[in-house]
Amino acid sequence: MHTEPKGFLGKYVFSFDHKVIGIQYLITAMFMGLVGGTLALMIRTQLQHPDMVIFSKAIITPESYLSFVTMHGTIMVFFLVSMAISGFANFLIPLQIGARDMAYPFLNMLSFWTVVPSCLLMLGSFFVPTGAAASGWTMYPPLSAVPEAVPGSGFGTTMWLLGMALFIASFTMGGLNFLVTIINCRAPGMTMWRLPIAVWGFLVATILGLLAFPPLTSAAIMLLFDRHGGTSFFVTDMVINDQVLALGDGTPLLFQHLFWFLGHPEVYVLVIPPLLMTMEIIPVFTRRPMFGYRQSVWALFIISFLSMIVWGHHMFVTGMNPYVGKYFSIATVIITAPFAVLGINLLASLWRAKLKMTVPMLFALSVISAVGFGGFGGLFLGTMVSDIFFHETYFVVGHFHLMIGVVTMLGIFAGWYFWFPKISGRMMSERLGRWHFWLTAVPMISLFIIMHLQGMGGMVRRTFDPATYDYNSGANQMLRFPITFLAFVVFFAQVIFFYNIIISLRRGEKAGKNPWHSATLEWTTPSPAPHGNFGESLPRVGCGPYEYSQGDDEEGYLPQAEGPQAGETDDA
Amino acid sequence: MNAAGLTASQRAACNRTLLGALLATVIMLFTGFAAAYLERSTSGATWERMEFPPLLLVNTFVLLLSSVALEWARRGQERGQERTLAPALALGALFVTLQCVTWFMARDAGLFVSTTAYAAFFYLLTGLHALHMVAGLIALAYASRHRDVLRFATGFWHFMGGIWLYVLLVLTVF
Repeated sequence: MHTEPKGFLGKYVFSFDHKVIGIQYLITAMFMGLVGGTLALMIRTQLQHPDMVIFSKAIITPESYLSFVTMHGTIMVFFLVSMAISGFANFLIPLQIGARDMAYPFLNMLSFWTVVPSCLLMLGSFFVPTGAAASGWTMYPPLSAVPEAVPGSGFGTTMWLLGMALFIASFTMGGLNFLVTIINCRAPGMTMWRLPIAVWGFLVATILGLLAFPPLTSAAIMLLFDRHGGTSFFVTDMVINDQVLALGDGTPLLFQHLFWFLGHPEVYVLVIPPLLMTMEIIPVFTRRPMFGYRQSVWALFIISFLSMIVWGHHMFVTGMNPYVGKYFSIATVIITAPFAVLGINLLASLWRAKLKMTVPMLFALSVISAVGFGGFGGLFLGTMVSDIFFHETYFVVGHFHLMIGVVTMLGIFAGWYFWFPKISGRMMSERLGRWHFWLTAVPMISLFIIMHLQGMGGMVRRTFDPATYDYNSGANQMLRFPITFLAFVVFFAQVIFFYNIIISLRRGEKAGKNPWHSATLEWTTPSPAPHGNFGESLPRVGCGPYEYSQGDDEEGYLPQAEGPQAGETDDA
Repeated sequence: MNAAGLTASQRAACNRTLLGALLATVIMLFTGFAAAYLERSTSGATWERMEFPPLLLVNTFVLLLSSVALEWARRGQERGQERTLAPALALGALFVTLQCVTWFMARDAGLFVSTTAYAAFFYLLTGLHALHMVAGLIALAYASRHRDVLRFATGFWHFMGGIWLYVLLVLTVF
């Protein structure tokens, strides 16, 4: 056991303690989320009033608008959601499986301190003369490879690629740690089938990420060589601004394949952990065992396997062979089946249960409806015929925001309200939490549903001035206002969230060990959990994670640490 | 090293899982490049091979010898004999040096990363592999002092030897 550090640096900055590292990740993610959210508001303002002068025309120009879109996507996907999930995984895995720390605490610290320079590179790229990367978060070459194409493809893109390389390095270190810890460091009696289901989520998402990120690394390396080494992996001879560029004879499509081989599993890396954190929270507030625990885990494995072989559905319009497209289409729609298993298990867990409507439970329920709406739109995008119409429209934007923006963020909020007592030792204010919930969940879900409608009307993505196109007048223009209005509501509702955190940290009700009467291991430790988590000896686990009594009695449950111990009964 | 309060056997199990997962990511990384290579070599664009540097055969032999020397040392050490990792380390370092020599020879023959697509893949694949070999050398050097990571470092080294054969296969056959 590493000894408890005494100094400020060792305790809060370069800490080996998984709980501190988890909180570091969460705080960094919050900060990056504010940056990403501000960018979203600037994008919405521009779309709402393409002709209005905001601050000055120097801030939102066609070029910088593209940078904002690109960096909004990058920051939200990799530096808000991924990092918040890393934060929860760091904080929860050792506590929930009954370990004293991660398997490799030093690697864990290194993982966080690799992602910090990565954040700085991304943020710093706004301040280079040519601006931040501007070819979309997907970084398609040749746009991203040729500096003549758009100003953002100058030094900003180099910083983006280096930042992404550091991010992948950090993710790999963190992910290897999660995987090894879950597999090898469980407390005595904690079999794989007794794991809290959130841990299964972290495990599966980690495996997916570890397998999917390296091909993106290879693509990023080749793109860097195309930009600076004179190679032609992805670029071809082309004419830009009447200027002939002899760049060789590469294949830009190759990048798309390598990118989406990561890109699609990455969606599941983002969605699965918050979704399963939701599944983890629901039994606590229905006071019943989860419906279909094992089936959910198997469904999860099928989902993640399928997610690695369907990347082509992002590329239907690239002129791929229709037979290949048909395969990708069918494989994509098959994912619906295991996903329906998860959905039905979630709903069945609620069926005729007596719900306790606490704030984490409200957020958990909103996740279920967001998954429903988001998944429904996915059917139209997974099917080749309709996708060719919807491609590059706001239908796509609305769909992926619902899945990797709303589902993930609502799940993360649910987790935050649920585990905040364990993080800080105090309860969040329920009253403020409810205000935060209603002003976040409802506007978030509805604004992205409206985006679907706009997309059906033909509104195209990444357009600086939508009014240039005739079809964006009329109904499509009218839909713009509710979206912008709701986006501002969601952003400023977060003021309540941050105010709630500050006020609860100072004056919140003391939480005690187990405020929610939950059965899993993290609630057997004092709040906040001490260094080394579990005192003198590790807990011995004797039963599954959701042994609740199905009654009104809040004490009627069997904590995992108190289940029948091996030797006392013949453990079937 | 035992930072998370684990027993020695738990620690060994952790190292085994870590090695497996790490190698999976390495496989995926090289698969990414190999997929790009296959696509690029068959997409109908110009594709000029370079003359295969004969020195690479010598390098391959040196790498094979280093694996043998490493296995000799590991088996001895696990039986309690005093066998040093020095020959394996020396052969490994020789391999990396010879790879550098190969690159310099290719450069002197007028072949740069930007000359042809094949040359670009040649430099990238061999260079990436050499980087992993350097990491492997550091792991081996560490393992010569810390017995508990010897199996981890050995496994990584042998595996990267296998990846070298894969790189050779890709560069010569396809």
